[in-house]
Formats: sequence, C-alpha cells, structure tokens
Amino acid sequence: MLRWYPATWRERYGDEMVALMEDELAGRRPDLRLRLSTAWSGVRERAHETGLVASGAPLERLRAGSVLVLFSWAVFVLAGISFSKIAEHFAQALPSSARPVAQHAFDVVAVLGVAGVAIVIVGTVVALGPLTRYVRGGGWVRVRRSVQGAVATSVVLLGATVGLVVWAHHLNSLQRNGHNVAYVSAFLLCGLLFAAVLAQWTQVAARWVRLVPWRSATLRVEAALAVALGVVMATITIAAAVWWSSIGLHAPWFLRGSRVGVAVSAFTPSIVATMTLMAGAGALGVVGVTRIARTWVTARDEGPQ
Amino acid sequence: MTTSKIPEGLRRTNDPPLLILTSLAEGPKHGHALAKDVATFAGVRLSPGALYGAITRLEERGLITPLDSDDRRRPYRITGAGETALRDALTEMRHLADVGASRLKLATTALA
Repeated sequence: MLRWYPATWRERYGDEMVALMEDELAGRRPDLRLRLSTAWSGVRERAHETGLVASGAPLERLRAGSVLVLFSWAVFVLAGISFSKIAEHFAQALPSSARPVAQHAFDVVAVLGVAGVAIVIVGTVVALGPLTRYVRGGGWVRVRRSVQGAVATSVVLLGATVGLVVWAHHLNSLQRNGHNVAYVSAFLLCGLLFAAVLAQWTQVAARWVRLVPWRSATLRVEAALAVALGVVMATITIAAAVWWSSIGLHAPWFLRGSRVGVAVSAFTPSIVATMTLMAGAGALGVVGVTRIARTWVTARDEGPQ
Repeated sequence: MTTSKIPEGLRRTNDPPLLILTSLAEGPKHGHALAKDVATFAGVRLSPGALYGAITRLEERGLITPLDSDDRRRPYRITGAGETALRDALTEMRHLADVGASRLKLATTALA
C-alpha cells in the first residue's frame, strides 16, 4: 500500500505507518477507502518531495511557486532546443520583404533564451552560500543519492556526446542529416539522455530548494528571479508563435523541407509538438509566477523559516 | 475524517498539525495513540496518510521530534518550537473566539 510514497519517505516512516495501520485495522483487510486515501497521501508526499506542493506558510508557497517555475524552465529548454533546430537557416527561405518580422521574432527568442540562462545562473550563485552551509552542516546525506545519480548520468552523456562528435566528423552532411540510420538513432538517444540529465539536475535543484533553510530575503530574491524567468518564457513563447506564423504565411515549405514555392501546411508534427511543449511549459511557468505573486504580499511580513 | 456537525469551511480545529501538536502537548505518543487521542478530544478521525503527512511536515519544521524506540511504533514529542507554535495558534484562536462571542453577545464560556 505504500508504493505510492517516495522511497526515502518509506525508508523513514514506512514501518511506523504499517504498524499504525495494523493497530487501526486489528486484523481486518484494508478497505477501498483506506487504499485510495493512502495512495492519494503517497502522491501528495511525492509532490512535496519535488517541492511542487507547499503546506500553509507563505514562504513555503513562495518556495513551491519558484520550484514550479524551475520545472517549467527545464521543459522549456527542451522545447527551445527543438525550436532552434527547426529554425536553422530559416532566413534564406524567406523573401526579403517578409524577412524582418520572422527575424525580429527569432532574435527575441534568441536574446531572451540567453537572458533565461543568465537568470538561472544568477539564481544558482545566490543559492550557493546557503547551499554550502547546508551541505557542511550534514545535509549532504539527504541529497547525496540524487546528486550521485545526476553526476553519473551526466558523465555518460558527456562520453556519448564526445563519441557522437567524433563519429560525425567521419560522416558527410547528408549522412549526418538523416541518411545514416545508426547515426540518427545515436543522435536521438543522446537527446533522450540530455533530457534525462536535465530532469535529474532539476530534481536535485528542487530538492535543495525544499530542504535548505533559506533566509527569507534569499528566498524572495530567488522568487523574484523565478518571476523574471516566467516572464521570459511567456515572451519567448509569443515570439516563437509570431515566427511560426510568419514562416507559415510566407514560406511553409521551409518547415517541411520541401522545394521552394510548394504549397504545404505549416502544421508539421515537429513544429506542432515543439510549440505545444513550449506553450505548455510557458503556461506552467505562468502558474508558478501567479503563485509567487499571490503569496508575495503575505510573505513580506514573515521571518526566516 | 470528522464527526463534527460544523460546516467544512468554518472548522479551524480539524487541521491535522494543530491536532497533533495539541495531543503531544500532553506527552509523547506514537501514531496509533495519537490517532485515538485526536478522535477522543476533537472528534476527528485522521487517516494513516493524513496523520503521517502531518507528522512529516511537523518534523521537517522542527515542531516535533521522534524519540528512540526499539519498536516500530515510534513515539514523538513536541519541541520547544512546537510549543511556541501551538501557543501562538491557540492565542489566535482564542482571540477569534472572543471577538465572535462578543459580537454574538455570548459569554466565551457559553461557546464551550
């Protein structure tokens, strides 16, 4: 019945909770209601562990809002990488009269993409002090397993990337762009590995955000950065949509890789999937920003937790 | 979860962390003893998931602490910070009760 709970939680409280259930049931079999409520509590505990759910206190809600923005950024990065791959060399496909709108929209995406990365770096630097104190104060034990997992996957990714680059140097342009099935498969595997690394490090960061006893002021700075990141994501999504519209209107063949002038739909699976992912992540970011904004005023008067 | 007849939105006293702190204010207890005590003094039946969810949060915030035990039934006790948090919550509730009673022109004891 406890399989819905995270492993670390089961390790710490599992035996106690089973003992409690045995006492409460006194030999009876657990009914459906108990099973469902236990499953729901387990799912909530998982959400707590990721830092996405907060209990009561305003600063905890501020923290949960920031974690939600962080998660949405991780997904957004994947959508951004896919978008930049799709948009490669788009300018050459457009007639010069139609170029400015798409170019400006793409520039906004590129500049804000860099701004987003800068915000994440600033957030990491701000967090370094409390993080170091937490690790030195014995907190390492609580995050060791997740950090080791993320480091291991990162090392595998690094090795795979180096191997892929070396392989790519022995292939011609056609082979690199879809004509060598083995290379394309390896490329896709690397992409999946990258997504896994991103997910693991995001989970590590979220865990740190939840466990470290932040000072109120530091948490507010992080929340402000999260709000900025949310705004960046929303703006990038709009700019990417403008770019897509412009290309769809003036050079839809570019999205399909067809010959110039061929009338085709601009709704290719890759761009639709990318824009859906981007919009979904952006919307999640906006939810996080809204949580932060709603908590902001209440949190102002709270002390450190 | 509760046997109270007070409408859901008006019950402030069925908050699991508050109930647990109130129970532990009397002395250390393990999960089953906590659940029984809460059911007795508040008429609230906490499910194992709700009880241990609240215990997890309270321990994380340093408001309760586990005691050593060879048994799987580990007892918990309230900490100094937990007592302060409970006192603050009760003071706030007392203030609310006083205001409500005075506006209803009731003596506070009549609410009991």
